Order: sequence, then structure tokens, then C-alpha cells
Amino acid sequence: MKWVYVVAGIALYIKMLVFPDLAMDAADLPAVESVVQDSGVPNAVSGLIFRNRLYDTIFEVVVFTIAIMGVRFLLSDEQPSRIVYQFTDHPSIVLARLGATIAALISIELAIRGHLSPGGGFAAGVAGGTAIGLVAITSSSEWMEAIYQRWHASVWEKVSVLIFIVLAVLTLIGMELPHGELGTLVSGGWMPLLNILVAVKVALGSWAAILLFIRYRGLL
Amino acid sequence: MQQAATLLEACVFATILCGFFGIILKKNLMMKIISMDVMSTGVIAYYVLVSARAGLLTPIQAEAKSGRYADPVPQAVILTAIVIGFSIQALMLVGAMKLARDNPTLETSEIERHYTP
Repeated sequence: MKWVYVVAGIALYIKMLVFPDLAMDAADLPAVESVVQDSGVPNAVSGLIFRNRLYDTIFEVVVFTIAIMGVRFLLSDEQPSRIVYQFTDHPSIVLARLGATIAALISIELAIRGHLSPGGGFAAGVAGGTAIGLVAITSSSEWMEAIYQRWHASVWEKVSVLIFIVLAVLTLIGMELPHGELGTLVSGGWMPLLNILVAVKVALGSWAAILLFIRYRGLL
Repeated sequence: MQQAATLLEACVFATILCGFFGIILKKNLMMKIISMDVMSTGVIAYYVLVSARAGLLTPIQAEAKSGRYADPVPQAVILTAIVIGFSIQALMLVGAMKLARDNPTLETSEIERHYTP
């Protein structure tokens, strides 16, 4: 039975390579120019995600939130691991802190200029999560947990999702801010705000995931 | 140019097929999850390749550039899959952890036999 699968897969592989692609005539349309014209931001991918495909992006954010909540729910009856082995030597701590600083700065840059240059909310959130993860592997998990609790990070995560949904619904029913001048920092209507909200959401969500996995499984 | 694109496409399809065969043929749950990640990496690479067919410039409008922009639509579509892939992977790993705690193995056939009445 296994060999049937393998032969079918190889046949599919050869078929995909030998036969020509399906029609790609639509490529003649100047997609970038029309999207930039519609959305008022130079980054056409951001324009697509937060304007043409906004309905899809709402549910993407919702799915991400629910997945993190599911991780928390499934892990809630586990026994936390007693000893968490951390990096304790000085060079790794300094290097991790340096990397975390750089990643955090990059995250802010990607979030606020995501509609002008490569980047955007999701990339910014992942950079922020990387920064938090680098701090988490070198400092004690109780301390990280205390910071997470003190700043009510989980509440902020949910609040940013809710604000994102409200802003997205406002955009979908047609209430848009003026586009402003193309290519400046404050332009493109809601788009910079949506970028920042998604960045906050993804960074805090990945912080929650990192924290849960370290608490219940340790680093190794 | 055309030949390089075809070669790249062949490599991308090989990655996707490797991941797919890993999912259906490997018996270990961890191996299945890792192959699923390999397959999703291949799919993302394929979307990037498709969007590079229209042109090679980053789809960000600028004055000084000359040439054709890459198609922004496949890039925007696949950005969703990257984030969803990350969250689905976290969820799957937790599920594998729970299964491994209930039955001290990660082999799917053993787990299925344990649950068969």
C-alpha cells in the first residue's frame, strides 16, 4: 500500500513539472499601481492585507487568538516542571540581551513603518516575540511570569484583538480616515493603527506561548 | 532565467512532496508534525515563486525603481498561512504532549491500538 502512495506522488510530481501552468494572463494587470491607488499606502502587500483582504485578516487574528487560548486550556491541568535549566554563563546573557534589544527596536520600526517599507504587523509581532523569547531563555521563569502578570499582558492581548475587530468593522462598513499624503508616516487611513495592533497582538500571543512552554516543559 | 525558474519550481515541489510523504508514511507523531512544517514551508516557497513570475521588484511603489513589480496578491495570501502555521504548530505540539503523557509512546499505531476497544 505504501508503494501505491509513493508512485502516485511521483506521478503527480512529474505531471506538475511537465505540463504547463494554468492560465497566468491576469499578470498583465498593473496590480501594484491599482492597489496603491485604492489604499493610499506604497506597500501593496500591506494594502491588500488590511484593505482588500481585511475580512480574511480579521479571522486570521481570531484563529491565532483561539489557538493560543487552546494551548493555555490544554496545558492548564499539567504539572509545571520543577527545575528549569537556564543559560547562566555571562556571555550568553549579554548576547541574548543585546539580541533582544535589537529585535525589539526592529519590531517597533516594522510596526510603525509597515505601510511604507517591507514589514507590517505580523513580521513586527514575530520580531517582538523573538525579543521576548531571547530574554526568557536567560532569566528566571518566575520573574518573566511576574512581569507578564504585572502588566496584564493577556488582558492587553484580548483588548488589542477587540480594538482590531472594531476598527476592521468600521473600515468594512465604509468609515475610512482620509488617506493623507502618499508615503508619509501618518497616511493610509487606519492602516498604521491596524499594523500596530496586530504587532501588539502577535508579540503578546507569542509571549504567552513561550511562557507556557517554558513553564511546563522547560527549555530542553 | 526561464530554466532557473523551472529548476527552482522542481526543488519547491520536491520539498512539498517530502513533507507530504513524511505526513502519511512516518509513524512517529513528532515526525508527522515536523513533516507538516516542511510541507507548509514548501507551499509558502511556491507562492513566493508564483508571485515572482510577474516581476522581481518588491511590490512597494517607489519612484527610482525600474522594472516590473512582483505580484502582491499571492504574497498577501500566503502571509496568512505563515501566522496560522505557527499557531497550529503550537496547538499540535501540545496535543502530542498530552497524548504522550497518556500513553508513553509517540507511535500512532500504538496509540490507536491503546484506544481501540
